[in-house]
Amino acid sequence: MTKSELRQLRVQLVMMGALFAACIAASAAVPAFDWAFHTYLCRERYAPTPAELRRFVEAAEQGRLDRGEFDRLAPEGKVAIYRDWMSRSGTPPRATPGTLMAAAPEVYGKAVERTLICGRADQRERALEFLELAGDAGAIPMLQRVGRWWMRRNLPVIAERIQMTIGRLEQTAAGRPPASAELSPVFP
Amino acid sequence: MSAKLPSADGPWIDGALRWAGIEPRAFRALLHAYLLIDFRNQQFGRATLSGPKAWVAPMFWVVGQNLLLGFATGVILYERVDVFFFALANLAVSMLVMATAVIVEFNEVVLDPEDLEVVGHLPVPARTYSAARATNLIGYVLLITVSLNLCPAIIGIGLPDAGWAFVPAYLLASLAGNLLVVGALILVYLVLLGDRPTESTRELLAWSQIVLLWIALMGGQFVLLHDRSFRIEMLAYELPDWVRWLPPGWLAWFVASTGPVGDAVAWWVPGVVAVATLGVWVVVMARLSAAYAQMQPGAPAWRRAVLRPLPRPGDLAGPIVRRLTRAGEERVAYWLCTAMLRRDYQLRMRSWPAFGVALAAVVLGLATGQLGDPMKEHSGVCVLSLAALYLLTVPVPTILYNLNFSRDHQASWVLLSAPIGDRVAFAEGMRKAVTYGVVLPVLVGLGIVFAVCWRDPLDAAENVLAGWLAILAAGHASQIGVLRGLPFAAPAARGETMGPIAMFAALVSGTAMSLVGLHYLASQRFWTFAAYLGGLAVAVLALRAAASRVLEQHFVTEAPGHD
Amino acid sequence: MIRVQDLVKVYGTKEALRSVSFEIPPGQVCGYLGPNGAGKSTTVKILTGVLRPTSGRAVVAGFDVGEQPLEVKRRIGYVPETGAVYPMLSVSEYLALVGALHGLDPPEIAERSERLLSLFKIRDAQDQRLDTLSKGMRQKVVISAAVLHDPEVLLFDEPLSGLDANAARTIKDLVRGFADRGKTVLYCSHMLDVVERLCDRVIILDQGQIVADGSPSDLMASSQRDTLETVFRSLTGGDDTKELAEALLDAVRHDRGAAGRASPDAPSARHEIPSPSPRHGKGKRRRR
Repeated sequence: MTKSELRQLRVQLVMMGALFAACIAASAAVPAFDWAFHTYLCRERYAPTPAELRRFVEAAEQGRLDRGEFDRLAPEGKVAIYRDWMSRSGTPPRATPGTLMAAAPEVYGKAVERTLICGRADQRERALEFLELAGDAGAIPMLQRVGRWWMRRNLPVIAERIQMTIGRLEQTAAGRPPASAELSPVFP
Repeated sequence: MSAKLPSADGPWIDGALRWAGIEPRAFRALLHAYLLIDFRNQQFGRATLSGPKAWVAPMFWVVGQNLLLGFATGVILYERVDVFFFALANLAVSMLVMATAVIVEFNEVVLDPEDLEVVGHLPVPARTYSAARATNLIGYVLLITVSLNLCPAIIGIGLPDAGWAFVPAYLLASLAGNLLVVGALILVYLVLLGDRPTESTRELLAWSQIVLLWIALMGGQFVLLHDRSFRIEMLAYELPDWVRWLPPGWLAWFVASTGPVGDAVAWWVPGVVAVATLGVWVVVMARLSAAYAQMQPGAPAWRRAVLRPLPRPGDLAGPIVRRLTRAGEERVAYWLCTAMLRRDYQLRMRSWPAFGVALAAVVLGLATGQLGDPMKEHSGVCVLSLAALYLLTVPVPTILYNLNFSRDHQASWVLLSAPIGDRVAFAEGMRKAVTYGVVLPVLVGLGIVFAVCWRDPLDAAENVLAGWLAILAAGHASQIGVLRGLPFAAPAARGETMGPIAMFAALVSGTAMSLVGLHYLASQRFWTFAAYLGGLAVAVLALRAAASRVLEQHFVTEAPGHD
Repeated sequence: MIRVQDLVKVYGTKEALRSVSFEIPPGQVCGYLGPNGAGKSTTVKILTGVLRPTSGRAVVAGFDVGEQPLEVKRRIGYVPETGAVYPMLSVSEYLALVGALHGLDPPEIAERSERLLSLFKIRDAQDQRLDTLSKGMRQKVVISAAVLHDPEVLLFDEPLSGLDANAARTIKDLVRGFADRGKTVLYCSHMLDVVERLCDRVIILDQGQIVADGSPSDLMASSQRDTLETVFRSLTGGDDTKELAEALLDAVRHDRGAAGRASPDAPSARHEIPSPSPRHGKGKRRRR
């Protein structure tokens, strides 16, 4: 086809139609790749823990955090300790959540909320377990907000799991042992 | 014109047109001509009368980049946000792009006094003419709307909280929103500016709108950047209530209400918007008719007829220009391009909006206290400073490319018949007109802002130096990427002013954002920053050498070949 | 000097120039005529390097246009038919731009501009924007720019368009003066009476081919016609203009009767003037 034939109005319209068709096909394919979004995109990414924070991580595992030094940490540093716990393979230390929530409940409450909204399914599960181990009933309003969010997104399964955690925290607050305190090794 | 009953003869639409006071045959003839012009524009007006090189119409590029934009926003948001935010973001982008297109191409799209040279003496009633122009405009709006929103409409079906009616509801909302925005904008221009708007008023209004639009678009993202783990999901989750009261918010609410969750479908929203849109367009049609009836071709009387004399008789260059440019072709090109950039309103309107993002970053940074000094602040507080600095590279390819186009392209014989021996020097003059004549003053202004905010002129100078090297690099890269021939030699077609170089401009902006990260890392130590500056300087020299070779072979100063 | 050899220009399937050859020596004013679409402007654009020929050769001022276009452009002055200029520049800026493009120094540009603008009586408008000037004044500016650098070859395409009688006289004298000083002038125009008086020689082009080449007097003698206009019409098929005009009038005449039937009250096809009605002129003459 010569250039002058290509420039005819009919041909231009056909080309534009082909462009539309290609984009429609590409767009229709996106929902078919849901799994790729959930696996690779809709998740939190955890950077390696900086060396200077390792002593805080170890102290939190032992439940012996130096509050003075810890309070001087920037918010990003505090969240990094949480992310270290979140990215542990196997069963993560049980004492860390309680220690951290006691030291900075707002920072860690916000971090957990972020994971519950932005994280992958396994990350959400680990975040809920963080709260259950911490046993902080002060996180219940946040969990209720997040639960409503997932209900609004028409994903009641996630909302029900959050409701389960709310139930356990209420039991803890009332002095009764939660139904299950076992941690699932989410990460192999 | 008095209202008439539909004629018993001919198709019903002819009768309806006559009832509205529109002459059907003239209307169809004009509309057909305007549609052809939209698709064929690159084929006319080459002063040399040789065959055009482009094999795709500019409209193709416009539609293509809109489809890509819609696809990109749909994919970025998919599965990460609820259907309300998904619709809100995509509708907002659509309405912003539509509004910007109307603002920038107001003359070509809405009010074009030059049309009078062709149809002014013909017996076409004003209402028929305005109906044809408005129909052409609405057709353009439809095409842009569909190309921007088709992909998000299809992608959005996969959202868990999207219902079966998502596609029609979303497309209806996008059409209503775009028509309302366009109609409202035209009305603002016609009502606020009167039937004969002054150039400076129109430009001021357009500028303020563009900056506000960019602030609105980028604001949410930039504000949350202080938390380095910014996520779109959190923005959707913690959306402020006031956003829901914006027009895209109403329409997004309607779209979300068609889903399985929540109460009854909010049909009243599209109803109200449709009534408002209809009302706006009725007024627009009436005002446009009146404006067209009073339109006069030629230069507005208020425009200055007498210009400042040359600095020295016969000499184009003042002392500053003589220092910036070498004598000969480079100086001539520099002078001509800067003169046209200063005086040609339409060239300015095609070029200056590209600065909107950088300006928005500065305004946001000042408002939120996030215009930090990267030499001292090693956190997200300095991201907006660096973004503003490197975003100044983005206008370079756009403006350089826009120098190709002019309504006065028929005067290109002046350059084509002139003995331009050193084509590389001529191209250098064009590049310097953009980098020195346009971008450098903005960079200096930014440096002053930094110096005042940081109370450290030395730090400001060092950072501005890095920005300047990046701008120089962008200039040479743009010579390779977009500069092909003498300036002001082609007519400005609808969409042509940006479409074909969208990919290159995206490359430049992507590189600029990478430099933001590199600069941030390098600024933490003196020697790393010095090495970074050295690297930028080497890149500038390499690009300059490459540009010279490319321009020597490809920069056209003579008539294009016959095909 | 201008030498054109077998010049061909094809646009798509249309042959605008078909093997055109001619030579114009220095000191000659050569009229280049032809009906619309004959190929005049195409030839001129090729000679100025604005357009490339499909085949053939053109030599201007001793340099091949195809091989040394730069040298050609340095030596020519061109006044195009459209006369389009950059409307946002002032008169002095435009002249300075063209002068700079031709490598003139600012003092030279200033001095020559001053003289040319004074000659054309537009010196007072030197700082006015070009788009605020009338067509004739703009044409004077374009002509001034064409001669600013004292070119060896001048190519004029309808230079008198829009000019008043005094300015037109000045241009004619200028053209003649250039030729007397040994320049080569190619003069395209539809004003055949001007061409007849001004040009030493006339080339007539029709449908891309040369149909006549000679001095006006020789052409008139050889074709036994009184004026260049009649020579032109006889060579380019313009003899039946009267019949053509009448046919055109018939084609657009409004017929108020039924289709295909002439109205009994309408003038006849040959547009005879209707007899005066009895009220007018009976026994009276209008005083003159």
